Amino acid sequence: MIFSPVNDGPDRIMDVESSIRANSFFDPQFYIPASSRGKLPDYPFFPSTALPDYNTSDFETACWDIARACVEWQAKGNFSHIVIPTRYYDDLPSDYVGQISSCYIEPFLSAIEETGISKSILLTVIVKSVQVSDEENRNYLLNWLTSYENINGIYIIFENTMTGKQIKDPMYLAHCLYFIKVLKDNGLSVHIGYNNTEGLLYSLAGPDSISMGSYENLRKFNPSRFIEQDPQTKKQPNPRLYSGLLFQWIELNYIKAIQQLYPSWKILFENSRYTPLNFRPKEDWNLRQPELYKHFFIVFSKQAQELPENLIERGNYLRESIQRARQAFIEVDRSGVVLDDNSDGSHLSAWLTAMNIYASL
Amino acid sequence: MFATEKEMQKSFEEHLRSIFHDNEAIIASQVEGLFGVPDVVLLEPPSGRTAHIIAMELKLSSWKKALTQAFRYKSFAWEAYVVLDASRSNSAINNIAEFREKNIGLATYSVERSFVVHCRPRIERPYCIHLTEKLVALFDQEVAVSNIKRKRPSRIDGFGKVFTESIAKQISKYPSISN
Repeated sequence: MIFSPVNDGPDRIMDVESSIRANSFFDPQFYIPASSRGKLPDYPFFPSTALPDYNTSDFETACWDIARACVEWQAKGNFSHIVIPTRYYDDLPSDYVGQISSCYIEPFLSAIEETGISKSILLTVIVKSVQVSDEENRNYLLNWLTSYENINGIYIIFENTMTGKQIKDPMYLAHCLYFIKVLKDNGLSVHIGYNNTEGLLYSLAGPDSISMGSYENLRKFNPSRFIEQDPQTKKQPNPRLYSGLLFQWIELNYIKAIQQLYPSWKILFENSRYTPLNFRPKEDWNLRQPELYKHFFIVFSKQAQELPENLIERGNYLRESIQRARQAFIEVDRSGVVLDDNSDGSHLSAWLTAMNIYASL
Repeated sequence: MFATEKEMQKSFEEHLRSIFHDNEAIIASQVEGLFGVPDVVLLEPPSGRTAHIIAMELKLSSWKKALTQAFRYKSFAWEAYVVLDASRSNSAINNIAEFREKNIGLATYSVERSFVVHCRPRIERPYCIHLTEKLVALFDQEVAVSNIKRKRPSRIDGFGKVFTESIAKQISKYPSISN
């Protein structure tokens, strides 16, 4: 589990059972250092709390104290790792590596050394699409990430600005797999945050953990999650029901059509104790109702558990599962249901192609 | 041919109004809050859950995209149509089997105001009747039913005029309509 300070204040996190904390890590979420969103101001080490008139030049001085306070808090929580945070840039500055090193990595490594903590250290990195797809950028970033002896692992957030709910660029997906594999080959542990169902695909490169958020804004990284927003202008996503067989979230308004037109519809949706509620016919779904998300948690957890340990077997298993999903989508289409490209199986061919490209890299 | 979808929609709505004089059908455009945003919705005067609703997606030529959008409207409408610019509709007409298979209507409309139905769908109960009820309720709220009964044209934000004859019945009655 990854604890999220924008959502939960310090007391609430410390109240979580110690055995759970010991198997989870705390993401300090310094992505937008000037943010005061959610519970972030409750953390005295959060940049905009420590520096009420936050600005970059003051942070360059204060970062050492901030790092120490953040490290001590993480140590007190006895989480599985100490996480070095990062900040988000819309456009990467030319001295990106220098800025992250001097304001985050060096102060945090120093604080960890000073406090004598012997926990495993994770470095957070937001990887932009160009840093995955472009060979020169990718190699530069990988060289840098693998250059720190004291850092044991990387907490990767792949940021993609593609439209649509699923990633349908096979080359991008293949290079994400390659990126993970290079880090693993260099002896680093790899933890990937903010995944949608492509997290299952990423498992082929053998990362140590893949986190998938339940809500849509946790399945794709978006810095706006850390910026104050007017609740009036906030657009709620349409409710969707997850199908493990299809590796897809189907918009709920399609479910009735599927039930009516596709006689074998029951095979598409796995059972959980929340399933019957998901098929309630007359309700207009309110996203505050958690059943759809709890259903997803149960179904997806089972899917993840069923992945074979051996990576070759995992690849074969996933390939067969994807083929089965594609066939099911073909049958649904033949039954007369026309799904849009955020509910259909158009991402699955990209997955298969990505697997083939990755195998050839 | 139409230069833009907006131009096509404007002409199409005017055309409908020129055909249907009385107040037996209501035309609405760009209705939000359902499943998709239909370009045109035709509705018999609200009569509870039984109101006959036709939803249309207007496109210049992208029939596949329009088909996907029109299918969404079957969640609340009894019939859903794709209406294409007649001069750019060959590809869709060549793939009319796809429309039949999905039970979506295909019609074309031209700058000369010729409206031709190439494929008429079977009338089917909407998949999500709660959305049909929502649409009817929307009309109930926005259009004073008394206005319709008094044959007084009503023009309320977001909605068009009240028409004499139900286009729903017209489209159902004739295999093609052109003038």
